[in-house]
Amino acid sequence: MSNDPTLETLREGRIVSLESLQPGESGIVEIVEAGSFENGLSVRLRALGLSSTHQVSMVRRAWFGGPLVVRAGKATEIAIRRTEAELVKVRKIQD
Amino acid sequence: MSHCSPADANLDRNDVPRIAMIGQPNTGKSMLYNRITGASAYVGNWPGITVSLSNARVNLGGRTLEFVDLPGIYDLEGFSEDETVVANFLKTYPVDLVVIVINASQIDRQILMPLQIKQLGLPAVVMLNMADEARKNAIEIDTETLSARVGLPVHLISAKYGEGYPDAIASVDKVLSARADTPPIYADYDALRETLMTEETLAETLSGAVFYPEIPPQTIAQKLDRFLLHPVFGLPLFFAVMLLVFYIVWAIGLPSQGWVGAITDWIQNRILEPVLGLGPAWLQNFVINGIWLGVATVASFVPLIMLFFFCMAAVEDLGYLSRAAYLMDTWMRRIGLDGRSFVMQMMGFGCNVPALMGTRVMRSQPLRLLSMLIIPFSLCSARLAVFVFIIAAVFPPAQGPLVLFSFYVISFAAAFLAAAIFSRSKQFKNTEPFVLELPPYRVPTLRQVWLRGYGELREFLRRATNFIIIGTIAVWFLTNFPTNATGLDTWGGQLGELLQPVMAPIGINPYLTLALIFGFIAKEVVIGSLSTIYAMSAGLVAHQIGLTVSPAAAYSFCLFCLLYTPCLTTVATVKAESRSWGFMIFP
Ligand SMILES: Nc1nc2c(ncn2[C@@H]2O[C@H](COP(=O)(O)OP(=O)(O)O)[C@@H](O)[C@H]2O)c(=O)[nH]1
Ligand SMILES: [Mg+2]
Repeated sequence: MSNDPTLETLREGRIVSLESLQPGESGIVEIVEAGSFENGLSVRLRALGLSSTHQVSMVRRAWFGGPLVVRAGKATEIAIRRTEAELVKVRKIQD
Repeated sequence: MSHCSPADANLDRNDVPRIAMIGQPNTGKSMLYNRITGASAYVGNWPGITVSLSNARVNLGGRTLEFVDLPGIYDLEGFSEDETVVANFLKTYPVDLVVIVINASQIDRQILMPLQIKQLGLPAVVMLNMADEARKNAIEIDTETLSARVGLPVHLISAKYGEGYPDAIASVDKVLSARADTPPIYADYDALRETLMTEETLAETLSGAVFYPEIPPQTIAQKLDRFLLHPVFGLPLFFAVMLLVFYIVWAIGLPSQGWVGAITDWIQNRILEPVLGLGPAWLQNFVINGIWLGVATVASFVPLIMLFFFCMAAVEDLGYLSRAAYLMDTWMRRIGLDGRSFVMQMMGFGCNVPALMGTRVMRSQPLRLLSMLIIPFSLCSARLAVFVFIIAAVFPPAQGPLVLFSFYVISFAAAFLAAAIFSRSKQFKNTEPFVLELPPYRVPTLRQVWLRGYGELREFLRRATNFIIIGTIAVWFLTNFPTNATGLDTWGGQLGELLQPVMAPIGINPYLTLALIFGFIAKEVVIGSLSTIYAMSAGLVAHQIGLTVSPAAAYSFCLFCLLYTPCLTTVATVKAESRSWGFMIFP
């Protein structure tokens, strides 16, 4: 287990959930976990341009635990709930 | 906020070439369809507007063609109800051509659909729509290279402004001519399932043909969203905008009733009464009091309803509704719904029926059922007419818009309460992810706003004439027999009296009770029948009600009208959409 590269990077803190990004930060999508949605979430997100190897950035975060607005790819803005964004794992882009 | 019961397309014949329009939601399919066919399909800046098929025949280059506007779908292999509708359509009905509509700015991901259609083995033409927006986003597209890559004709167009449109249509014509003797084709879903489309496939298709700017120019949406989606002020701002709509409707719409009233009075005095005066008195009584007064009352609402929908169409086309869904989701989530349910409720302002059909975009059955449960609370245009009538008669003018707005607030509150209660039951456990595209802000064109307002009006009148004549005639009979009785001694009066033990405590008199009974058929009947019950024209009834009904009683009447039961058509739609009788009697 200890030489699992994904786990390595996780320990380095580079792969994070989309939910944890702050406005202005961005990352490259690694994987969309199924959670309780089976493949419903990943299929819909893929159609919206939020799938592995695509860039995503955080635009704004609503208060009171409300949804997030993220920008997927070049020109798509998506509102997504925090619980759903939690399932999207991204490799954070350091700048 | 859309047309009542849009008829599903009639598609059994295939004697002329059939062309299906396909694409993701909100890419402008309906707008292109309208441009081609001259029809007025529902166009709106909200993903999921077209949920049922519509078709039209047109003459292009000396050939009759049939165009079908399909619901927007994200994925040809998806499983939501609208996605199944499209898949079933393509499997059941052979097509001669598919027109794929793509938002040019989002070609980076939407290019998937042409590739999939190609796998299905269907002849197609690709329309990269919204060329105007792509230009603003500084995106460059080399259509020739792209066309060679995809193996389909590709055109950069703007359905809204007409740019590139003639070439695109010529291309459609050319493809059709080339395959004039070839039979139409069924989609081959097995072939699609066997091929794996990877990210690399998409990237390879686009490389060298599509160029995105390194740093995208700042859009208006980004600037506006800073205010309109503000974490604290966003929601109050939205409600302020809605309140403004009501003030506009009130300030301009109400005086317009007087003008229409003057016209209908003139027709009654100068045409109907002299002509009917030649016949027996009972006939005159029947036609004037039984039919005409009811019709005239409904007619007086025509400008007001139109104005309301001009405003709503503008709000929606602007792209504000999707933002409202985002803003409201924080709260809707807590009662087992999501932001889209809120927007569906706003769509229900026009008529509950299409809003109920709009829930088809929801995949999770519990979420859908719960949304359908609350939509009938939504204050539709028919109820709007009743409320405006009563409020204007009883309340001082300055309070009018506020009182009206309060009913909208109450209708939402009642819906939330119902949802909050039912969402506790396991049956309504929501399992659907909340992911919603926020389209850019778009300037509504006058033509579009006009088409929408006019469409809503036509539907309002269609419903009104269907029901109001039956309703008011029934009311007339009840209030004119037995022949020598008047007022509360008639059958209708007695029926109202009978219910007084229940209705008196909430301040509703026998006349109003009778109107409410008929409101079950359709809410338009309520105002129509008031004229019949009092046997006076709308203006006089309003005066009479103003004298005899206190503000508290009027408020209670409206409240009752809002909550007691949805109209017959809504009940029938709930049944059809939920496929259960048990669910229908729930609300
Ligand atoms: N700027 C621009 N907006 C467009 C164009 N075509 C459609 N729209 C807008 O895009 C939105 C969605 O259009 P609609 O026809 O309802 O899309 P559909 O869901 O694919 O049927 C509406 O607000 C239209 O006004 C275009 O060529 N340029
Ligand atoms: Mg449409």
